[in-house]
Amino acid sequence: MSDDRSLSMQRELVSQITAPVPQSDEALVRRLRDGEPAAGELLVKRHCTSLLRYLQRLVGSDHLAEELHQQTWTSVLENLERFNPSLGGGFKAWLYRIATNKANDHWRSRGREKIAKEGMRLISDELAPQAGAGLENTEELSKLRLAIDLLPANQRQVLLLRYYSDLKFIEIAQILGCPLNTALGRMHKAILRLRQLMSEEARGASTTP
Amino acid sequence: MKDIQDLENNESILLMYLAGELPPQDHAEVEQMVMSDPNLREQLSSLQQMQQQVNGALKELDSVTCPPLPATFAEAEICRMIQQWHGERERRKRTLIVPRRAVMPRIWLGLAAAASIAIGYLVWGAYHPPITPPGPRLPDIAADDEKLNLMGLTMTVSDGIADTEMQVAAAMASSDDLDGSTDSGGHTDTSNQ
Repeated sequence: MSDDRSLSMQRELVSQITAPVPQSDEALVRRLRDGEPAAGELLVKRHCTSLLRYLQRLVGSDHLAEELHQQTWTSVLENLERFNPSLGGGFKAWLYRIATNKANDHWRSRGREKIAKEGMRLISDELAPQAGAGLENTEELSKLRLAIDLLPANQRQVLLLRYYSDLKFIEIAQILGCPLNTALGRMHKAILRLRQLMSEEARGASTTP
Repeated sequence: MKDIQDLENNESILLMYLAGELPPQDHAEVEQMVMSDPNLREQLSSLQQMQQQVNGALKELDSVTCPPLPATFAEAEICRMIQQWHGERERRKRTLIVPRRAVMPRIWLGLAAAASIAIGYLVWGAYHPPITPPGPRLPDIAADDEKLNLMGLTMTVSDGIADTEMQVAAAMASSDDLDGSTDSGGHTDTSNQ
């Protein structure tokens, strides 16, 4: 009886040891550097969708988000040898820093005003309801999307970085190059503004017959 | 940690508390303050609610809007980029190795040139033996002189050489005289006879 018990315990232990442990991003980067492209593909699978969504919400344009997404990964590959996980967070923080810098560079090069106009046009283009979404819901969400786009860029960055990357506030502050207190202040203001807008929407909806 | 100590207002501290990013000691302290202060408790609850609302709205927004690219398509595109990058990297590595091979003949060429110079010198040396200068012999002679003096001999080697030289000179002079007499008469002098 005791033999059976010890045997089952041993089996459990062996299964625990042999169970595939998900590798850290940094380990995958090392493997990719050592010439294993499959490790890079794993990294892409982990971060591709959330990064694309982050850029989509950050720049308010699908086309631009796609372009910046590609530029980000190109930059990652070009600078992979220089990536040092001990300096300023891990791979995810580095990836989002590159993406945020790409968006900032784009804004700087094209001029904020022009982009704002373009963004507004693109938002209005995207207002068409999508399959599976109710009309009321879509209208509300479109306004939310507009509200996100109307947030000051620094507040939008903190809010979206927190939501899509799930990085710690201290890492977000490092990415944005500002003190932790500033990043938290921006986050708080962004939440307040969005909540204000959403409550206005809710009030508006309840008063309409 | 210094950044955390510098947190200025309640909102910042509460945001960090909600995110679970405060150090354990600070977390416990905030927890105690929230328990004892109803205003702070209300503030925390309001902030939590706002955050949940915004997160919920963003989640909903993502569920009804398509990403810029279908996930599989975007992933495939980046994976293709990685493969391309990897291929180029490997190619670059190979091209870095090729010049090394090309450098090898240059090294051999240099070695061959050095070897041929060395062989040439040896061959030349074999046909032209080195001429030893007479200078170094003088001290030897002096040393021999000393040895002979020690042995109590009055004539030294150098004297011997000088004598030999004198003898040679005398012999040469006599041969000259002999030649001279022959030349004058064409035959030996017989006047005494």
